[in-house]
Amino acid sequence: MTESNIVMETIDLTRDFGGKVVLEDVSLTVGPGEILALLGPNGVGKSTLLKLISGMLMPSRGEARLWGESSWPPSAEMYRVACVLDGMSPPYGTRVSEIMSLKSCVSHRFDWKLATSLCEQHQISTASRWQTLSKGQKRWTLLVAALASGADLLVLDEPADGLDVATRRELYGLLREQSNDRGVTSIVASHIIADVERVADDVVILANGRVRLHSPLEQLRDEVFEVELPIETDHSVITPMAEVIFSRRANDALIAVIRFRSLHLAEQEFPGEISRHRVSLEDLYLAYRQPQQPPAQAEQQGLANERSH
Amino acid sequence: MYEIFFLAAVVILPIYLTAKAWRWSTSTSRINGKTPWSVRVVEASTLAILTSAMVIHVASGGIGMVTTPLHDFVIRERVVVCGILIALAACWILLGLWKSISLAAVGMIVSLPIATIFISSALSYESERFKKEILKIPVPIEFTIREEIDDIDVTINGVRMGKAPLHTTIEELEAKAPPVTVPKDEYSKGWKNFGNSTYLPRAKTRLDRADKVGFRSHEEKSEPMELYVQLERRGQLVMISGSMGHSGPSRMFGNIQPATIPLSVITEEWHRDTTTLMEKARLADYKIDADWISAADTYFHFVRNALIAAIPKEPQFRQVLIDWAKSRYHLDQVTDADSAWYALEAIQAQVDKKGAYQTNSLTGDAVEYLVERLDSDRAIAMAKTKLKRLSTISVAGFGYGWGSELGKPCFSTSFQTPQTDRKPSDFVLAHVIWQLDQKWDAQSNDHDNPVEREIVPELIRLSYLDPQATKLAVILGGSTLNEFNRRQQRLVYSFKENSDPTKNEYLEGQYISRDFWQSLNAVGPAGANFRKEHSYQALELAEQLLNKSFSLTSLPNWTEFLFLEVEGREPLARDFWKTFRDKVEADRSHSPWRLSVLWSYLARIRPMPPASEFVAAFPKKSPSYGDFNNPEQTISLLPVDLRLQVTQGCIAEAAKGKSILQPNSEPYGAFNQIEYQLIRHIPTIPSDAAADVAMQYLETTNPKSTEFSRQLKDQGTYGQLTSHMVARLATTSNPEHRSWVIPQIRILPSSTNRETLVRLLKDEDPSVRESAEKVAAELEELRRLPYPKLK
Amino acid sequence: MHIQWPLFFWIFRSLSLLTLISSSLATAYVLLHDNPLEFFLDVNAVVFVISHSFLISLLLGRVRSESFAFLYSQGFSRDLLWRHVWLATLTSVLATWVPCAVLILTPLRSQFQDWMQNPWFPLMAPAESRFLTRSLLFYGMLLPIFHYEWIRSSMPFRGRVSGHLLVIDYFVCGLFLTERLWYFGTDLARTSMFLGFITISAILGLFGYWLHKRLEVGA
Repeated sequence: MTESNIVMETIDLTRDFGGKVVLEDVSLTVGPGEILALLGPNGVGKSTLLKLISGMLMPSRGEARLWGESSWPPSAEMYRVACVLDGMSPPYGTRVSEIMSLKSCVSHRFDWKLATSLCEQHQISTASRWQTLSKGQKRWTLLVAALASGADLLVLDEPADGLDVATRRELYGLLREQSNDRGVTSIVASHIIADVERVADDVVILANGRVRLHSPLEQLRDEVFEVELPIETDHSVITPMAEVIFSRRANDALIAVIRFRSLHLAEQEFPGEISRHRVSLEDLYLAYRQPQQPPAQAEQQGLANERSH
Repeated sequence: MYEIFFLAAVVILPIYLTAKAWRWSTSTSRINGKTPWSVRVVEASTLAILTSAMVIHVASGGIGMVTTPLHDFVIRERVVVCGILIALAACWILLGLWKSISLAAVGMIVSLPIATIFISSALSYESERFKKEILKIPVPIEFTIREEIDDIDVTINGVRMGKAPLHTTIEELEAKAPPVTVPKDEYSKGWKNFGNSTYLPRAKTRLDRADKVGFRSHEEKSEPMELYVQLERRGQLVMISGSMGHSGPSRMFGNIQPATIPLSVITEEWHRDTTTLMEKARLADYKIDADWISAADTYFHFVRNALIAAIPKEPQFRQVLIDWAKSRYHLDQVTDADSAWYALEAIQAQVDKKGAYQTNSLTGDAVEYLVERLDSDRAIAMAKTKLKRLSTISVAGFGYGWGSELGKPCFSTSFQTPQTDRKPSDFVLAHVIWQLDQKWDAQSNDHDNPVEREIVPELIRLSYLDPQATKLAVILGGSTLNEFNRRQQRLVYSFKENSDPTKNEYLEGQYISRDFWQSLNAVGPAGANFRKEHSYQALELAEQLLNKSFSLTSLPNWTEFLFLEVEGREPLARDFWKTFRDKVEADRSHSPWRLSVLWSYLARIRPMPPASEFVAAFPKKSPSYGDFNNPEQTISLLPVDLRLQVTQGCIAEAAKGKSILQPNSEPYGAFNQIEYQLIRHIPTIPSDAAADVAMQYLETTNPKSTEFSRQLKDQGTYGQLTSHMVARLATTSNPEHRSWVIPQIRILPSSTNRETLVRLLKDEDPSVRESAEKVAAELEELRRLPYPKLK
Repeated sequence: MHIQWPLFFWIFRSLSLLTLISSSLATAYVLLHDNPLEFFLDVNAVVFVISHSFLISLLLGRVRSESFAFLYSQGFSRDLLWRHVWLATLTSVLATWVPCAVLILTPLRSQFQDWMQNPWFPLMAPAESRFLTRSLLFYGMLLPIFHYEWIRSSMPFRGRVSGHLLVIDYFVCGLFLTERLWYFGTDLARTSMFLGFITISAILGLFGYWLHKRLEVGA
C-alpha cells in the first residue's frame, strides 16, 4: 500500500490510563474503501483505539494518522471523519433535525435526502426529540447522520448495538454500498462477528491491548483450517507449514486451528491427517481468545509471522 | 463580604482537595502523562505575577506600614522582608516548574496567611527599631519671616546663626547656641504695640524636642528647649511679634515634621512708613497712583495687613485693594472677555507656581475683579469638565476648603504635601464660580442661574461618593438642589445614628444620621418644609447637642439650622431660645461670654427680635463684669440700629439693679462697672442718635462725666471717634470738645474730616485754631512727602 | 468570522436557561436598584458578574459529559468550536447586559427612578454608563481564567486540579490585595496590581485557546 493510498495509519500507538496500559504499540493501516472489522473482548481497547483515531484522545506514545496527518491535536481534516462512538450522545431535548443540521455544518456534502429517507424508513420523524426515541432508533439516527454526512472515513463503535437483524443488515449493506460507490473507508468495532464477516475486508483482533491478528478476511478464509491429526502428532510437524492458533486433544486425536503460512502450503496434507475443514470468523476469534498451545515459543513464532504478514 | 470569600476559600479548599485526592486514588481514568513544559511555564508565570503583586504589597508598606515614610533603616528591613518573601515564592514557582503546579498553587495560598503573620512580625520588629532609630534623625527647625523681608540676620541665644529663612536642626542649635539664662524681665524690655499686636526686641519660645515618636503609643518625654530669638537687618534691630506662634517638631509615625517658627517682624520705621502710605491714600481720597503702588509693593505684607484691618471702618480701602490688585496683575489691560480670560490664566499659572491660593489675598481681589469681565460660560464649562473628572472633592479637590461656619466657604489653602491631581489653580476657578453665583443671585434669584443649572448637578453627583460636595452645593443653591433635598428628605426619618458608619456625622461627641443632618441644614423650600415636618426631632437633637457642648464661649456651629427658614412659621431658634438661655445661664464657668453668646443667638434670629428681647437677656440677678469686659465687641454683635436702644435698656437695668442693692455689695460693684462700660461705649455706636446721647452725657453734670469726657478725648487721640461724633464735637460750643477732633483728623484725613479741619482753622478759639493749623501743616507736609519705600 | 448557526445554537442551548435567569435578574436589579450604580462599590454586582462568568464557563466546560463528547466528535475543527464557545459566552453576557445598557442609556432606568422620586435621578444617569464598562471589563478579566480552569482540568496530563487552584489563588490574592492596596496603597502599587491581573487573564485566555486544541473528550 503506497502512502498516498493510506487513509488511516497507526504507528506504535500506545495509550495508558493512570499507569494502566490499555493499548500498546498498535500499528495498523487502512486503505481507501476498505471496511476494517475490529474484534476483541470487552475492555481490550477497541473504543480507545477508535477515539485515538478520531482525535478524541491523545496518544501516550506513537501516533494515529489520517490521510498522512496526525490526528492529535485534531487536524483540519477531521471534517472528513464521521464517528459514532460509544458514550457520546446529544443532550436531552435535541431534535433529530438538529442533529442532522449540526452534521450538515461540518460537510457541505451532507445528503439530506438520504438522511430523511433513512429516518422515515424506520419511522423516525425529524421533529422527534432525542429522549422520545428507542435505543435502536437513537443508534440508527446517529448512524444515518454519519452515513449521510458524505464523510470519507466512518469510525463506528458497536454500530449495531440495539439494532434488529434487518436493520443491521441494512447498515452493513449501506457501508458496503458507500465503500463501493464512493470509496468510503469504515472502521467498525463490533461484537456481532457474523454481521461484520459479511462485509469486512480486513479483520483486526485485539488481545491484551495488542494486535493479535490483522489480515484480509479473504486470505483468512483460504489459510485458516481446523485439522484433526493423530494424537501422537508433534507440533514440530505442523509449525514449518502453519501457525498453530489453538490446539486441543480430544479422544484419540489432536484438533488444531492452524493458519498456513502460504496459500500453496494449504494444498499439502500433514502426515496422518484425519480431517480438515474451514473455520468461520467467529471460530477463529474464539480460537484467538483461547489460552495459547503449544508453548510460548510457537506462539511467538506465529505472532511474528502474523506481523510480517 | 471579602472576609466571607476569604473564609470560603480557606475552608472550601482543603475539603475540595481532600475529596479530589480520594476520587483520584479510586479512579482509573487519571492519565499519567507528564505535564508539558509550556503548561508549566504559563502556570508558573501566573503564580509569579500573583507573587509579584504580593511583593509589591509588602514593598509599598503592607498593612499599617504605608503611612510610615521609608527611612534608610526601614528600607533595609523591607528589602530583607521582600527578599524572604521572594525566596519563598521562588520556591513555589520552581516547585511548580519542576514538580507540581498544584502543589505550588496550594503553597501560594498557604503562604498568604504566613506572609501576613510574617509582615505583622516584621512590623512589630520595625516599630521597635523605629523608636530607637528615629530619634537619631536630626529634626529640622526653620525660622521664617512672615512678611517675606530678606536680609534678616537671626541670632539665637546670643549666637548669630545666619540669615532668615534659617534652616537648621535642633541638634545643631543645641550644639551651637546652648541655652542661656536671661533675667525674667530682660527679654520683654522695650516692647511696643504696633496696631493690635505687641512686638518685642527679643522673643522667647519654648520648643518641644520632638522626642515623641508616637509610634504604637510609645512616648518619651524630655525638657522643652528655650530659645531667645533676636533679629537684625543691616545692623538695625527688628522687633518680633510677642505672640510668636510655631508648629512644634514631630516624629509622629516616623514622619519628621520640621519645627517651623514663622516670625512676624516690624521696626518703628517700617510701621511709620506703612502708616504714612495709609495716610497718603486717605489724603488722596483713596485714589492711589503708580508711585503709591510701587512703594506699597516694597512693604507688601505690612500695607496689605493695614488695609485689611482698616476696611471695616473705612470701606473705601476696599477699592484701594482692588486698584492695587489690578496694577499688580496688569488688569488695566483687560478690555474684553478674552483678555480677562488670559489674565485669569496668568493668575492661575502664578498660583500653581506658588503652590497656594487664598481668596483673602491680593490675588483673590484680582480674581474678584476679573469675575465681572470674564466669559462666564467658559468658566462654567471648564469647572464642569474638571468636576466630571473627579470622584471625590475632598481628596482630589475642586478646591474648596471649609471654614468653621457651616455654609460659608473659606477658600484658604496651602499645599504642604503634594496632592496628585489637586492644583491651586482649581481653587481660583472655584472662587470664580462662587463669585458668579453671588453676582447672579444678587441680580435676581427668581430663576436658576447658570452655576445652579450646570455646576450644582455635578456637585450633587459627586456628593454620592463624597458628602463634602453637598456642602458646596448648598452654598450655590438652586432648584436642582431643592428638588434633590425634597426627595432626599422623604427618605429621612430620624437623626439617630445610622447602622452604616459611612452615613453618619460626628457632632459634639455623638454620631447622627448624615442624611437627617443635611436635610436639617438644607436651604430653600425643601429645607423649610423638612424643618417644619421634623421640628420636634430637630429640637430634641438641638437639646442633645447643647447638653454635650463642651464650651459655650461662642455660638456653636451646629446651631445654624435653628435660624434657617421654617415653612409657615418662625425659625426653630424661637422655640429653642428658652432652653438655650437656661443652659447658657446655668453654665457659670463661661460667665464672661454669657451675654455675647446669648446676643449672638438673638441677633441671628429673623425677623430680628426687638431691643427689649436683647435687654431681657441682660443678667439681672447675677451680673458679671466679664460680660462687658470688651463692650465694643459684645455690642457689635447687635445690629447697628438696635445698639443704642439695647445699650440704654441695659444701662437702665443696671441702674435698677443698683437701686435695690447695698452700695458696698459685690453685685452692686458689678452693676456699677457695667453701667460705666455701657455709657463709655455709646460714642462708639455709629449713629446720629448715639452721638446725641453721648453729647447729652458730656454736657450733663453726671458724676461720671469727667471720666466720660476723658474717654472721648482718648478716642479722638487714637482716631477712634465715629464720624457722627466728629460732626457733633466739631460744632459744639465748648472749644475743648472741638479740639478733641483735631488729632482724629490728623489720623484719618478723609475729605469730610479735611473739610472739618478747614472750618476749625477759622475757629474763634485760638488754641483750637493753633492745633488745627499744626495739623494742617502736618498734612501739607505729608502731602509733599515722597512715598516711603523699604530699602 | 464565519458563524455556523446550528453549531452556535447547539452550544448556546446549554446557556439558555442561565442567560434567561441572569438577564431577568440583571434587568430587574438595574431597573429597581435605588442607589446609583457604581460597580466596584456594589458588592451585589461584583458577585453577580463572578457567578455569571463562573456558571458560563462551567456549563460550557462540562468536558466529560456525553453531549460535550458528541459535539466534539462531529468533525468540527477545534478553532471553530473555540470561536463558537466564545461567541456563546459573549451572547450570554450581552443578552444579560444589553437590556441593562438600554435601561441605563436610554435612560429608562433614570426616568423610572425619577418617577419613583429617587433623589439621585436623573442627576446620576450620565455617571452610570461607567457601571456598564466596568462590569464588562470585569467579565473580560474573569471569563478567560474561568474557561481556562475547566479546560485545564480536562487535560490528559498530571495536575488536573491546578486550573482550579490557580483560579482560587487569583481570587484569594486579588481579595487579599484589593482590601489593602485599594484603600492604602500607592498609585504605583494599585496600577501594578491591576495590570498584573489583566496580564494573568490575557495569558490564561490565550493559553486556554492553545490547550483547547489538545482537549481530550470522552476519556
